[in-house]
Amino acid sequence: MSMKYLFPLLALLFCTSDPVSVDFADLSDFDFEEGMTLPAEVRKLDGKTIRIIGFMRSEEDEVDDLEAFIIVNQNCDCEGAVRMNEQIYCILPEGETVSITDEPVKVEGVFEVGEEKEDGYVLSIYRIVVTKLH
Amino acid sequence: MSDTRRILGSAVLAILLLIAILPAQTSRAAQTGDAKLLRYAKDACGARWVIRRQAAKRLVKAGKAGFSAVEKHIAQEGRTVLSSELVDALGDFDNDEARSLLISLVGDTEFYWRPQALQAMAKKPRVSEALLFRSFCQADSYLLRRAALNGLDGIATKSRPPELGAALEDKDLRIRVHAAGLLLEREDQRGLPILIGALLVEDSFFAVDYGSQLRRTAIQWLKSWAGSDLGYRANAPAQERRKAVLTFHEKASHAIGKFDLPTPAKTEGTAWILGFERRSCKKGDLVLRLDKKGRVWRGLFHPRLLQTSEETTAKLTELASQAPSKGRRVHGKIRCDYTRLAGLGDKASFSLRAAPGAMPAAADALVKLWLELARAAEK
Repeated sequence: MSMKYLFPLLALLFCTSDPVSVDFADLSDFDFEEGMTLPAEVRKLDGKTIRIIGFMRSEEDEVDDLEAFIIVNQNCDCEGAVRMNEQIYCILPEGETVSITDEPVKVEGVFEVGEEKEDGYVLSIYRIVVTKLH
Repeated sequence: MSDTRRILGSAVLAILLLIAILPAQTSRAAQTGDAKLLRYAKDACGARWVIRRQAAKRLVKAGKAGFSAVEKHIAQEGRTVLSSELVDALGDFDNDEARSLLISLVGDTEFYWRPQALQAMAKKPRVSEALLFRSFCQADSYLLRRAALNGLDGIATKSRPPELGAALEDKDLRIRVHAAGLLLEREDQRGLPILIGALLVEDSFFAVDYGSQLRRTAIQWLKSWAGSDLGYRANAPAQERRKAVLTFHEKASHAIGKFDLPTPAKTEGTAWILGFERRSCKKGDLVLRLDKKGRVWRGLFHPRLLQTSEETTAKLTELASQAPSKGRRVHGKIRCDYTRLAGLGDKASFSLRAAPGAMPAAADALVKLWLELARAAEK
């Protein structure tokens, strides 16, 4: 089979497979240090389609027309600052936008694991390419 | 001889040049270092919350120079710009100046991150601060009370602070669970029934599942005690959780003697139709809900029934139907404090959350009535 068809087929396979239900407790049961090897339990989710519930936040203070957002396990900073392994950067399909809501949301999509950096700071270790948002 | 003299002369010249250049280079390096630290201080208070924590950590790593950068930033922008992440990091600095700043923040009743400042102090509490921590054991905000317990627990390395035992009777289940957990770490198992009871807790403020958050906290403490979570999953349905709870109960009964498995409080007709939730680091939390039988309840986990007239509940429903029912759900910049309203609009299906001073005008009357109800109940 040509490689040209292999990747779309694999992508289709990921999208159609049953999502794995994941909880923030599964993702944050370790102390994250920049440059560390992430635990095997987390790495094994890389590339899988997952479903997770969390609270939406924007990267800064915007509320509307967001092409990406972050989900976290708490709805304010009262309980303490959100740790790097308690947040997931969610990327919406091209052309779609969303507004921040006050209630928890259920996000489904392909999960990516690994450090993503900008200006020397780690921006995320978890990302979801969103396929469904409830 | 002349060659030796020439070589010596060159060497002396080189040394003199180095002496002349080095201070300039060192000061330039210091300036670059300072600029970097100032940037970290700015980033640690910036709008991008994802990087605030990392920037704050870098300041701590820089030690005294890092704290100087924080001071400079405060001098320029004022202390209100401090983020919760930077306030938390202040507790990691090992200098008296940082400690003084934290004490001053804790004493400032207008400061947003007051509980976080007390919690930052509780990370490395000093014996001389016992009185300060003790003074917050009865604070309105449960976050302040929790930080106070952490501080007192950290100070009392040998004996058990009596405040932990007293907190097992706190009005807020979250504090009772926390105190039970701290005691358990000290091999004092008397809070086990509270922790096991918390595994059964179910309570949601509309879609926000506060029960699962508390269950998650309780299982963390119990997991350390039992060496395993015994298959308990905080987010699983109650039926699936039951087996592990029974095993924990058996284990605990074995350890401290037989006790009845706590039953979670039941509120009849808890199909909530309206809700008011104020979370506040300043004033403490307030949760009020109206059930479908027209009764108003106050609090989470073990809500109390408030005495209200039919007229008042009818007014609540009327005002809620007139409040915003579409559009933006988050208003203003939420830091710690916010007010959430649920059950709004004709269909009673809309909810919104607002920072202090950012509540839409159309919901003002509703907020006022909820607060009046709470005040009347206090009297």
